[in-house]
Amino acid sequence: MPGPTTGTTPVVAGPDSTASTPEPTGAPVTSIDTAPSAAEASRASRPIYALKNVSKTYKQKNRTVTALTNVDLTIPQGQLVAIQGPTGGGKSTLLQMLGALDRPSAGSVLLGDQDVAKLGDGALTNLRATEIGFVFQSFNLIPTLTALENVETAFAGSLANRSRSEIRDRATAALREVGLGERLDHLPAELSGGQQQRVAIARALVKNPSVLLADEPTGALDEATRDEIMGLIEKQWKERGLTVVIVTHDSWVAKRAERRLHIKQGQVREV
Amino acid sequence: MFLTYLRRELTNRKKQTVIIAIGMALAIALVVIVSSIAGGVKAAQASVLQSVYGVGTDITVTKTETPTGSATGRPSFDFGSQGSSGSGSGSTDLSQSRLAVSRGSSTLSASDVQTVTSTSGVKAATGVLTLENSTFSGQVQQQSDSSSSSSDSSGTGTQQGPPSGGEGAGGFGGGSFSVDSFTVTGIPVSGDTVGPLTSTELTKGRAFTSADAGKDVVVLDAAYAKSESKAVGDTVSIGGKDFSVIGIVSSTGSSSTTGSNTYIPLDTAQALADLDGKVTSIYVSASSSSDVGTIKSALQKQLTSATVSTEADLASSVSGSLSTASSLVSNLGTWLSIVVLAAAFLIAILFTISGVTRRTREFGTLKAIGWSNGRITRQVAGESLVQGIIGGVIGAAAGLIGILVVNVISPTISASASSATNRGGMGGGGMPGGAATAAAGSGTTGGAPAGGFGGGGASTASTTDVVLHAPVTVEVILLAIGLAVLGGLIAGALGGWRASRLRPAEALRSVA
Repeated sequence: MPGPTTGTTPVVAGPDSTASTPEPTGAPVTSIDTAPSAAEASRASRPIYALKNVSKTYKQKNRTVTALTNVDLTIPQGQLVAIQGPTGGGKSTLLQMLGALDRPSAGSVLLGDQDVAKLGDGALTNLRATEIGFVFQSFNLIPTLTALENVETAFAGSLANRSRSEIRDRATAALREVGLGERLDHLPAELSGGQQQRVAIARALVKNPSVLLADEPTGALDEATRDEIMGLIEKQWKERGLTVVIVTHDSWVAKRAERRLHIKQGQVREV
Repeated sequence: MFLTYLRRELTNRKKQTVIIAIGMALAIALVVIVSSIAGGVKAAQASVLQSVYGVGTDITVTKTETPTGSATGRPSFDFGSQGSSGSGSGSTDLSQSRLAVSRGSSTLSASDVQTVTSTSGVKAATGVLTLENSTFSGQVQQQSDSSSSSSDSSGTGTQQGPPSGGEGAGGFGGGSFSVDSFTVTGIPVSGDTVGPLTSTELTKGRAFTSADAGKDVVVLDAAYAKSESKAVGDTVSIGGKDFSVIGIVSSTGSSSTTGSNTYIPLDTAQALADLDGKVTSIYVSASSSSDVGTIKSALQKQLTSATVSTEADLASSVSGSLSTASSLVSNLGTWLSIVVLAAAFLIAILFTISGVTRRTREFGTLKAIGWSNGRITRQVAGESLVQGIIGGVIGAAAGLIGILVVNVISPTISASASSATNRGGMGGGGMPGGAATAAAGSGTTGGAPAGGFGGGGASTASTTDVVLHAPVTVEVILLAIGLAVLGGLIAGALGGWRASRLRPAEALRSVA
């Protein structure tokens, strides 16, 4: 299996059609999609994430805070997982481990066959650039860039070598896919919260990642918009065979997931 | 993406861009103006020196007067029966001219000139004899009580010089005097390539020829000729002899005057001053500018009692408002530039770092989606660099406008260049009841001690007015752009460094 540093090949590709995940609904809508092949499907039984005995501690002034304690967790490729738990329970820390934003203090975090704990900064950066899509509660769009330009920022690492026209075409297609084909040149301030989150989702998916990590993606939205965004995430999950991990306080959102985890005081349990 | 992002940041964060650009522009403008004026002052100093020492003079050799403790060398007038006449009304008319080496200067011999000429690296050497022609004229009242002290006299005149001194009180009561002095430079008539006349151009009449050797002919400085209303064909009294004016010269530089009021053949000057074979200055031209230091050392060894000065040494002898301007530029101007430049750099750095801090979430997000530290650093540095360049361009333009204003105003500054050590020590006027005035070479010549008896003075000082011209050079423009780029790079490097140190997890956590 090609490693993440190759940039264009997913760590684990294609959904497991025989697993409990929903059946992909059909052919890709845009050029950024890739249809799962039989060969890829045959590899789907391999977990995309394997966390073994993961602990994370932080130093805060003179005291040590334990955010994760001996977490063992396996996430199959193509699964939609919801993580819930009280504030300060370790949700965000777990998401940072999964997103290669931080290294564990102990244990290993395998993304495909890459151990996040052992990768250097450059390799972690490229892993994030090619394999992981992020969606944040506050959208985190660059305020001075248009919707299209925000999506184009996703072409980083080895993906940055694509031609200018290819990057523009793919970003345009991604925005059309999330229903913002008419808002390409709008600044974030000119878009509603739901539209901004759609731009963020387009930015996360334009590079065709293996994993979509969402940190309270509906936390800043009203109910109707929340439903729209969750519908969009579910649609992408189904169509692309993505592995999706959502951190949420919202039980309604959590119930849409096929697997629910609860994290409290740094320890994870199945719900 | 780099350019798009950069353009968007600069146009959408106008306040920061404008503040950094203005700060940088102010500093760059100041540096440009100060640098340009410094160049102008330097050129003015060179011009002043050229007017005194001529074009191409790399080294001058002079000899200062050795203090003896006696009255030797002091300008004195001996009024016996000669030069005085009774008016028949109780007063005496006095008038006498004197031609001598200026006070503070001493003479070098012809062999010294030969020594200099034969020194390795010397291209040409010319010996000149600079003299001072002083004419004392006036009228004194006979006083019956010759033993009266100065405090008993009640005159309405003014005293020149310090109120106390060695020459002490005189024995006259009432009267008026004037001392008229001007400089006389004896130069070789063979057309030397180095010397005071090389920085002049003939405006009327003719220059010296070999046939003028030993003759009583004189070439006048244009400003002096104008002040004395002299023209070609007129006569000028030098050392009590009438000299025929054959030509008038003016300075080719920005100075208003040449180095001397009058120029006469060297041998004539030597004979008139009874200084056969003597010169006061030797003008030396080096074969190569790189040889100047070596030649100076060699001359100092060979002519131990002489003063050997290079162009740089001579520049320090320039005084007057030009010196003040030079001092202002080199001290206040330079430090002001440094302070303002440092402030501008600091503003740029602080605003950039502040911008990075404000954009923590932005950079954290970019890191989360795979931007490398290098890419983020380049982005921040690029923004700062462009802000610096914008400030640099505006600053250079403002600086050029400032230079234009200086050149339109064209301030005139005066300067004096002295080639001999000033020596004071003479006493005050001490002429109670007398009015002593001095006309010193129509303002072109110092040297004659004002007041006749009082105070020492620079022996061969030449005062001239110079129009300050601030030149615009490629170096100044490059300096402006270079500083702007440097400021942008420093600010960008520090801002980028700070951005690159942001850990994505912490950056995202800080805004969660």
